[in-house]
Amino acid sequence: MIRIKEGDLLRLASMLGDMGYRVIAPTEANGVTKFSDFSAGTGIDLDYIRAINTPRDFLLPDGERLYTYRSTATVTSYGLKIRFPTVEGPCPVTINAEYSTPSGRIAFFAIHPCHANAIRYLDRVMLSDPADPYYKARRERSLIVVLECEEGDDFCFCVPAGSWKLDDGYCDILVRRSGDEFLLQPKSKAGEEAASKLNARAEADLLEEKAPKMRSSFSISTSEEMIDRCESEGLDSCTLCAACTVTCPTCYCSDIEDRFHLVDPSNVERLRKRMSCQRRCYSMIAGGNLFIKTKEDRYRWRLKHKFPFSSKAFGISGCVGCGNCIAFCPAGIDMRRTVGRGFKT
Amino acid sequence: MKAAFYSLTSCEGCLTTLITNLGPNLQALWRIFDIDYFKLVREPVGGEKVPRVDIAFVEGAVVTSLDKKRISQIRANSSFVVALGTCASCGNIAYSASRGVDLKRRALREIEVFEAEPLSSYVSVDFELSGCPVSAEEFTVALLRLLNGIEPKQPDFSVCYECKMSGNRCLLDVGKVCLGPIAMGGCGSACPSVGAPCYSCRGPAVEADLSAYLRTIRRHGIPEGKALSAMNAFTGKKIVELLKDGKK
Amino acid sequence: MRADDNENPYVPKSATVVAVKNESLETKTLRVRLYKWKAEFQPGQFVQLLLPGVGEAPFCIASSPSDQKHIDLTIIRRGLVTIASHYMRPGDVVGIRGPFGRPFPISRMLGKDLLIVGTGIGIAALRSLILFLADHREEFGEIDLLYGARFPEDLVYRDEMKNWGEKMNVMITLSKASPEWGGLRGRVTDHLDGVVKRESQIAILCGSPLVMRSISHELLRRGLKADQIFVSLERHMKCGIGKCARCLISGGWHVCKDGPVFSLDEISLEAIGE
Repeated sequence: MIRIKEGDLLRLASMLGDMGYRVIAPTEANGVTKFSDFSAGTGIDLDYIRAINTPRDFLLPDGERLYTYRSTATVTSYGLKIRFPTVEGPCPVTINAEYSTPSGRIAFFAIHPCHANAIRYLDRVMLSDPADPYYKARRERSLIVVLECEEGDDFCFCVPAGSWKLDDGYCDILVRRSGDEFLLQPKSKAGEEAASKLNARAEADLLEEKAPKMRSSFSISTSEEMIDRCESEGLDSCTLCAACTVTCPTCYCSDIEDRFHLVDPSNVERLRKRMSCQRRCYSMIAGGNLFIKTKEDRYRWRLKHKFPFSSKAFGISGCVGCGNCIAFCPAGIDMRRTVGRGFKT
Repeated sequence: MKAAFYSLTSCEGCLTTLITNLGPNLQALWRIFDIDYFKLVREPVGGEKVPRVDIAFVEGAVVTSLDKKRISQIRANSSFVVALGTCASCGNIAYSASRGVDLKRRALREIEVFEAEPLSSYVSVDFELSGCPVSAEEFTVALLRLLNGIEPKQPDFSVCYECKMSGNRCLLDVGKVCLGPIAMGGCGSACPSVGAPCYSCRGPAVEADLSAYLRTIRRHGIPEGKALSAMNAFTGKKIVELLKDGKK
Repeated sequence: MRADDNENPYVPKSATVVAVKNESLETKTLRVRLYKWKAEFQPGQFVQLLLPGVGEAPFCIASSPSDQKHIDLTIIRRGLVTIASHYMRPGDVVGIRGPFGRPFPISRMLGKDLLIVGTGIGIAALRSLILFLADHREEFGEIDLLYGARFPEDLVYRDEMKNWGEKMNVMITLSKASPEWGGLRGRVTDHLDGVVKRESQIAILCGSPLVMRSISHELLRRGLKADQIFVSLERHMKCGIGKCARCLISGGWHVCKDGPVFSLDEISLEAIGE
C-alpha cells in the first residue's frame, strides 16, 4: 500500500498517458459526470458517485467498423452499372473484405468497483468462444484503476448485487480516499509498474476492498417466472426512451449495418451499432413480426437478460447494481421493486 | 433512373440544406439520376411542367390552391413520392399558425390560401423523411436504399435515446420542457446536446406514447400545458392526431 | 488485414452465385459456390448471407452436406435482404459467414423412426436434412415427411419431391387448395394421426412459430415426449456467435449458438414465439 496526495493521483493519470495509455477518466461538465479522454491539465472528478456513460462505451464503441468490402458486382446487378463510373470493367471474384483490429492501450482511471465488475461480465460475453476479436484486442492491453466508493447514492445497490468485491484481473490498482489523502494498492504487475513511478514509500499494510455504505438493504432473487409475474408498477410512464439500456454498463446488444458513400458506392463499411431491447427493431424479423411487443414485455426482457438469462448463458449476473437505469430513467422506474426482496424506498 | 425535387410552400431550407451539406455527394447525385426538375440548382428543361419520374422528393406543406394542384400532378407523374422535411410530413409550423386566422384575407390575387396540411392529407406518400431541415446524411442513406429497390426506414428511436447516448444531462431534471422522450430521433440530439430543449422538429417518434410522456413530465413538476403548447409548434398534424388518440 | 486468410468470425468469405432457381412465386433458391474455401456444415446449421450493398441475413443451409463447395439457400421475399436476393444473377459475388449453430441431432436419430414436419418456407431448413437422410437411408428407420403449405403456388421443391418419395413417405397437404388439387387437404395437424404412432420416433419441426407450437402441442398430446421433439427456430441473428444478443430466447438460450435446433425439453413452447 502507498499513501499519496490528491495531486499525486492526478499525476498518476498523466503518467499513464506518458506510458502510452489512452486514459479514460471521469470528468464533470454541465452538471453531469462522464468518462472521457483525459489529457494533462484537465480535471478529474474524484468525488463522483455516478457517471452517465460507462467503460463499455470505450470497449465496445458505438459505430465500430468491423470491416470494409467492395460491393462492385452487386451494384451492377441492380441495373446501375452505366451510371457508376467506379463499377466499370469486369466483375471481381471476391468481395475483398478487409479489417483491422484496434491497437493501442486503454487505461480506465478511477472507475468504481461496479464498473470493474461490468467489465468482468462483458469479458464473459465477448471472450467466450469464439472471442470477439475487436473487444479482445482492447481488453488484452487495458489497465483498470479502481476508485472505491465510501457511500452510495439513493440508487446504488452494489452490496446487494455483490459487485463491490473485485475479482483477480479486474483491478490493477485499487484506490481509496482517506481524508485528504489517497491509499493505493497495486494488484497486478502492470499496476505495480505504474505505481512505482510515483516514487512513494510503500507501507506494509495491504489494502483490501471494503463494502461501501448503502442507503437501502435488500436481497436480489429472480427467475423468469418471478419477472413474468411482477406487477408493472410505474411502467405506464415509460416512454421507451431506452435510457436504462444506454446507461447500463453491461448492456452489449448490437446491430450490424452497412454504411455507404454515394461518391464511391462500391466501398462499403460494415459498422457495429448499439442496439437496445427497448427499441422496436430489436426483435423484428423479416416481414415485420415483433417478438417483444409491449412496454411490459420489453421491461421484463431487460430484466430477464440481466438476471436469469445471464446466469444461464454466462454463469454470472448481468446486473452490477450501479443503479444507472434507475437514476437516469426520466420516468423514475425502479427495477429494484421487481427484483429486490425486502426493498423499500 | 429519373428523379425530381419539388418545393411547395416552405422556406426551401430542406433543398438548400441538401445542396450545401451533400458536398461531393451532390455531384454523385447528378451522375446517378437524370434529374429533370431541381429548380434551386438549375432552370428545369421542361419549364414548370411536372415531368414523369421514378422518385419525387417534395418539400413544403400544402397551403395554397397552387400547391394542391401541384401535389396531385406530382403524385400522378411519380412512381415513388418522398415527403422531404417536416413541412411535407407533418405540416410543421404552418400547420398550427394557419389555424384560427382569417385566411380569406391572406389570398394573393387568384391564389387561395388554406389551412396548411402535410402531403399525406391530399395524396398517398410512399416515404416520409422528417427533419427541419432534413439531414443530408439521412437523405443519402434513404436514397441508396431506394436505388437498391428497398424501402428506406425511419429511425425507430426517440431523441431521448440519442441524447443519453451523447451523455447529456436530462433537461427535464432542470425543469425545461423537453420533448425528447416522444420526439423522433435521428438528429443526434442536436438541440439537447447544447442545452436547448427538444421541440420535436421531426414529428413524434414511431412508438411515441403521449400519456406516458405527460406522466413523466408531471413527475418532474413541469406543467402539462407548457409541454402541449411546445408540441404544437413544429409537429403539426401528427401531434394533433396523437393528442386525439391520447384523449380516447 | 485481408479477409481470405483470417479467422475473424465477423468477416465474410467470398462466394459466387452459380444458379438461381424459381421455386414458387415468392421463393427462389440461390446456389452459391464458395470461393477458395470449404464449409464443413451439418444439416440444420445456418449461414449469414451478405449481399454487398444491401446487408446481411441468416439463412438455414438447404443443400446436402456432402457437397462442401456449394451452398443452397432457399429464400422467400420478405424483408430487405430477401427481396434483394431475388435480384441476384449467376456470377454475382456475395459474402458468406458460417456455418453457425447447433445442427440436427443426427446421432440421436440413427436407427430411429423419424417424423419430419415442415410448413411454409420452413421446409427450406429441412431440405439439408432430407437430402442427408436420402443419402444415408439405411441408417434410419421409417421416415415420414409431412409438408404443409397454403396454396399450390406456394409449394417449393416440387420437382424434387418425387425423388424424395422413393426414399421416404412424403405427404403434402394444402390448407387453401384449389378444386383441381388431388392431394391432401387441411393443415398438417389434421394428418398427424397416421404418422404419430411410434415409441422411438423423433419429430423434427420447422415452420412459423404458431404452427410449430400447435404441432408440438398435438405431438405431446399423442404421447411423444418433449425430448423426442426438435424444433428449428427463427430469429434475426446479427452476429451468429452469441455476441449481439439479438436472438436470445426464454431460458437464456442464444438461437445462433445453442440453436437454431432445440429439443422441447430445453425450451418452453412459449419460447418458440407467436
